Amino acid sequence: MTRRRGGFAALLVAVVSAVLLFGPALSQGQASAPLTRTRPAPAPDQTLPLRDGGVLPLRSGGQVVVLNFFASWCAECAQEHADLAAVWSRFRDGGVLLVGVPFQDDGARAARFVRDAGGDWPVADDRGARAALALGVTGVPETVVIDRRGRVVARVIGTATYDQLAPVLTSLRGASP
Amino acid sequence: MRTGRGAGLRAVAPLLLVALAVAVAFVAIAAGPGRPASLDERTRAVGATLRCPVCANLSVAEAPSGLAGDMRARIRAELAAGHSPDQVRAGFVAVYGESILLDPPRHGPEGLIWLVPVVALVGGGATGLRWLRRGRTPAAVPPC
Repeated sequence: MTRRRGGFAALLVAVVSAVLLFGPALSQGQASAPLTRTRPAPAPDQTLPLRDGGVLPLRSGGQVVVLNFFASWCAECAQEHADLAAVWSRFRDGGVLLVGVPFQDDGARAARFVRDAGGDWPVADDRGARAALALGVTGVPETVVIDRRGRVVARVIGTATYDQLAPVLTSLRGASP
Repeated sequence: MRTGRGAGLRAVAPLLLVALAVAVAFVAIAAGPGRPASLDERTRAVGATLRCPVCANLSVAEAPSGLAGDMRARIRAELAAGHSPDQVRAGFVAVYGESILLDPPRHGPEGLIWLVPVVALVGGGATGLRWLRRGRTPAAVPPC
């Protein structure tokens, strides 16, 4: 009986050790962060100035808004760029607005980063991180989806992919405002 | 006849009372309303209770990151607009959750963690006492 207990304890220690040793390595190998469908909550009642002029009211609705918080110094942001470009290419004429929002970065450098990588979606100027703080952003990349009723409905904390965003945007685009 | 020691104490007692009164007065003045805290001080005080979300366990008041600076600016603006420190904190909690507080309230599922040391202390203490009592009980002596 004591021998059996000892064996079980050894097995338990081995399993815990394996999880501790290999868990982080396995999670690092993941290509993207999960997309979370959040409980719809009104977007912050504020406007986001765009670098090429104009402002984007976050809560006014009428279109689906994808806010991609990024920085030019962020390697994962460069990684997700091609997927964002694909999203923009497919949905830009379908009532979806993708906006890059520099986070903890120089605005001009961040805008150049998007343009140099071939992105032509608008880039915002989030002075004082007002939008980032109002949306609870904690790092980059982070992508927030606002529906046609001006509600935050989904979020990707980490690298976003086309496969994650496309189904969500398709359903939101079709939904009545 | 009184001893010399008793007479000495009697002579010193009024001096001690005066010294005590002066000390109490100093404490009362120090703890009193005094001058109102400046906006900078109030900003620092609120920032010291909030965790910088992008730093390694640093408060917003001391973190060097740009986001912490933006948070300090927001705290300052809201305090200047007449919001109370609790209202400012509540605004951050509404977005980031209670993890933004450096000293989160001890309730909800996270609050259970505070129970662990209490349970361990009470349980361990009770077990230890029982063990000690058992040790003191005289061992039964087998009849000869």
